[in-house]
Amino acid sequence: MADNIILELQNVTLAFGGLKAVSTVSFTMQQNEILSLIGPNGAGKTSTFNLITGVYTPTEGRILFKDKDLKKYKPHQITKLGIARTFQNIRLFKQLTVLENIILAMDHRRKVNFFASLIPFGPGKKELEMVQEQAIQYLEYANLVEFKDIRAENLPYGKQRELEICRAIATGADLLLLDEPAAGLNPSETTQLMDIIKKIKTELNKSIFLIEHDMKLVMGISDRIVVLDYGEKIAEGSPEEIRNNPAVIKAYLGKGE
Amino acid sequence: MYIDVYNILILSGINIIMVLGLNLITGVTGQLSLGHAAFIGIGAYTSSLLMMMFNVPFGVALIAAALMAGLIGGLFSIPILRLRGDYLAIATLGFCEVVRVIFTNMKVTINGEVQRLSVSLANIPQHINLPLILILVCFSILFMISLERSKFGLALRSIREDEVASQMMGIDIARHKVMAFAISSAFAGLGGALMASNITAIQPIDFGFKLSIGILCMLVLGGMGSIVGVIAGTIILTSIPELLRFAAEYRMIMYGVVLIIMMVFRPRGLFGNIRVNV
Repeated sequence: MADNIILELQNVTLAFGGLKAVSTVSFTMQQNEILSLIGPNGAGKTSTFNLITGVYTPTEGRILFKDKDLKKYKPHQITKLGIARTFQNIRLFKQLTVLENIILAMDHRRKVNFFASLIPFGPGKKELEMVQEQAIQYLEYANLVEFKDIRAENLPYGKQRELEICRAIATGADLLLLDEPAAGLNPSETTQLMDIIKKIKTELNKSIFLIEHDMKLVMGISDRIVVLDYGEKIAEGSPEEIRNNPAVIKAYLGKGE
Repeated sequence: MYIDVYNILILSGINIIMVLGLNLITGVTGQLSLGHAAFIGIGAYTSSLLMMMFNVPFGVALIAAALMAGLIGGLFSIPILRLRGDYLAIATLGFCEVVRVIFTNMKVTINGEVQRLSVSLANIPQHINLPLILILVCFSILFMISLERSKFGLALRSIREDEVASQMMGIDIARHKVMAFAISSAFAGLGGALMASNITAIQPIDFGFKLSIGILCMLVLGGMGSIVGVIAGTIILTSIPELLRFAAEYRMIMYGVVLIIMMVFRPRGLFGNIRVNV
């Protein structure tokens, strides 16, 4: 079992002065698992994501990804190790085309000499054609290929969310961090998103770590759930266990009289 | 009225090379630089002094000027990597002034004679002709188009769109910015070397804040990030002062009017929509 651990947080604390955004949080994540991180606003969910992706360094504790301590790596190197993320407020490259957004995500996997990539023939051209072909395959998988030449900012909102997930996959990462992927989607789009996330898990063998407020989505697709409140982990377990956990109910609904 | 078309073409060509350099860092990478006059100055003095002090051939002096400006530009960009927007503009503006003051206080020995750079450095060898400028402009344009289309250029454009997202997609922001600054400064330096050889006399004040703003106006008028825009904006703003020589007092007013009209009718520049795509 221990061999399958892809991500492990060991007593991770993130303090901004006296404020502890994340406080001695520990949990592990298995390979090919859908793990959800939930909690009320300000519980430290996005801070946890920022710790994993290297935006912040933990004040205390360690984060291990495939047995490597992430402390030594910069954000762009962490992406190369195999962690990619989406953002709470969509952060696409708005004025680049859909195809360019995907090609950019493949940047660190492109093995092309700087000078060769300048010349519009020879190895540089060959490499570009190959990358474009691969990028189109990603778009075909995501059903976005018809939009490939339009600017990302002109996509409908739901498609922008899908493109952002597609872009994260195109980095080649094994672990995807999805920060509120269902925010702003209507119920039918949310149902579609659930299918997409399940497909990414089963067909592409990715591990998915998601932050979400939509309980239907969380309960519907998660293998396990971690609950944060005021930066501390208050519960961890299967959707069933979490649904009936008194501490979770208290955090969400307040103390019953 | 006599219009010196030859001269306008040469001036436009030299300016296009400089503005293409500025476009790479400001239009493509999205880092506002008000310090490009410094790199133009570094290029101008490097090539002029090499030719006058050591009799270096013009071609070699041009390359040395570009390399020198590129090197200093790359080094200068390291401490300011974290700055953006208005803070970056202030830092580059400060750098521009620092370089000007350094030039003002420098002394050089030419043919055994000690000379201060604060006074005009005159008798710079004149090697400029239209074919040379045309070749260099064509080379610069082709280089910039292929650069923007390349893997490196796509990464630069992604930095302009969203630095955080770009980093999260695995782009080494620091490395890309340093390289972009270096290449951008090298073109400014090349332009500066050509400019010095064209006017044959330079002084530190030529490379002040006004020049930085001047080339930025050309870029803004044409449309940031658009190579067609760079060419159009530069030719228009280079021609206006020359065409209006008879109305010398009103030249700067016309300049201002053109920019105001542009901001009202085409806020993204004349050709802001024409950009390179992969």
